[in-house]
Amino acid sequence: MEENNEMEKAQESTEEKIELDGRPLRILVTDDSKLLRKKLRLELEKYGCEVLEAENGKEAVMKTLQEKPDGVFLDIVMPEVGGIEALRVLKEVASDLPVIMLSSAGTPQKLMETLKLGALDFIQKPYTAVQIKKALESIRKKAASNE
Amino acid sequence: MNSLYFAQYLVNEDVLDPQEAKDILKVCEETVPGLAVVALAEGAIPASTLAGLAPFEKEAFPKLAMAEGVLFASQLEKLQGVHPSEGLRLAQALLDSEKMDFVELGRQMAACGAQEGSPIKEAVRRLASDNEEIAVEIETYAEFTELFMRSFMRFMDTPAIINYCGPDNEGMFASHIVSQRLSGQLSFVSGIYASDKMFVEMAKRYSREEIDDADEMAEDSISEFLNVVNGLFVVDLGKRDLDLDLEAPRIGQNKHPQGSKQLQLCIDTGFGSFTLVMAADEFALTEKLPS
Repeated sequence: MEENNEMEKAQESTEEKIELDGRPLRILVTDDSKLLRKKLRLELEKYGCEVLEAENGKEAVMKTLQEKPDGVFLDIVMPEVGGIEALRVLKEVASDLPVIMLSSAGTPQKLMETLKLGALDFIQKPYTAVQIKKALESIRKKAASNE
Repeated sequence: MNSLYFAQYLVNEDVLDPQEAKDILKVCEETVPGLAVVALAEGAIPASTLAGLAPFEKEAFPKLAMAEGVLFASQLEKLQGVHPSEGLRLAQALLDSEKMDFVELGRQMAACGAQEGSPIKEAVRRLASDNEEIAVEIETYAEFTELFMRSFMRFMDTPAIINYCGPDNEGMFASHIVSQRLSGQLSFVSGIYASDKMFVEMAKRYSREEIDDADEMAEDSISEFLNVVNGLFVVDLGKRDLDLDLEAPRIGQNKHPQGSKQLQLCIDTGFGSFTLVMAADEFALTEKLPS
């Protein structure tokens, strides 16, 4: 166990930073679970990201307008304003914003619906570190092409 | 035979009684399967050959197997790479506690491997057989329970079985219940009902965080676990063109679940017991507050 922890630490310290024009990516994590936000924040910070948090769709829209993140991770099942509704509004106010759906509700129907609404990708929970890294790279690519 | 459900198979077949099963699950928590058990499960060495070599210390087996010419070095290397499933941990615990020898263990493993159908689904069907109210729902409940048990063992890193004695919730004063409803072309609610002590232990294991009380973080952790399992279930159903939505999890404290078409299953794990509840209606009364 200890050996594994050491290996993980060593791996963490050698993770390459994923940046946009030499600055950290600003990522908004939207999920009603504090635990999920905490875990994902730690994962994103490994790549040098600056992480913002929102706990529902309404807050995600407000923070997007105020803080101008480079990309958003968005859950679907949330109180007040859910992820689908939030995605619809986000695409109205910031059509080029890369949004990655990160949800347990990854049915073919939800995948199609969010794809049509303009989501960049859909990650089914529980996520893996590899999926998060790939998502960050897609966000960087999309954000760079928007600039 | 490298099955997650070996323990359930042994309980279904009355090889282990509920109390024996409970005791052995606790031992499994600390048990690391030796290569002899792995070799038996993978069919690399017949049980009779292992019985002929016994008794031997678990750690001494690789050297002994090479010296006796029963395994090639390449086979040993391959066996070392086998993932130690809950079934293998149980097999080792059964040997260590002398409940079985290699021959009996080999026989039971082979029988478990040859069995058609899932031991978990079989247990659910048996427990619900005289409950006519859920005759239509039973296959959905069985399917969900199998997915739940697989996920539970994976995420909580423990063996688990459905106990035929049923839930014992009497006198459980400090308790938590988390439920989540699936709505749409089907109405299904699943829930985890546990004493606060068990609730905290599950929360700790799932989140890998230091959690000492049945507080918001513990509720968040169990809600997220249930949400992930229900999500996987919804995805499975979606592949069969059943479109379902997940609703936000609900949390109740010191409340007994009551709903229609309800089935409560007592789940024994390596660190305690809890109740898995399935029903057609919502049964936890308090909506989860935004964190």
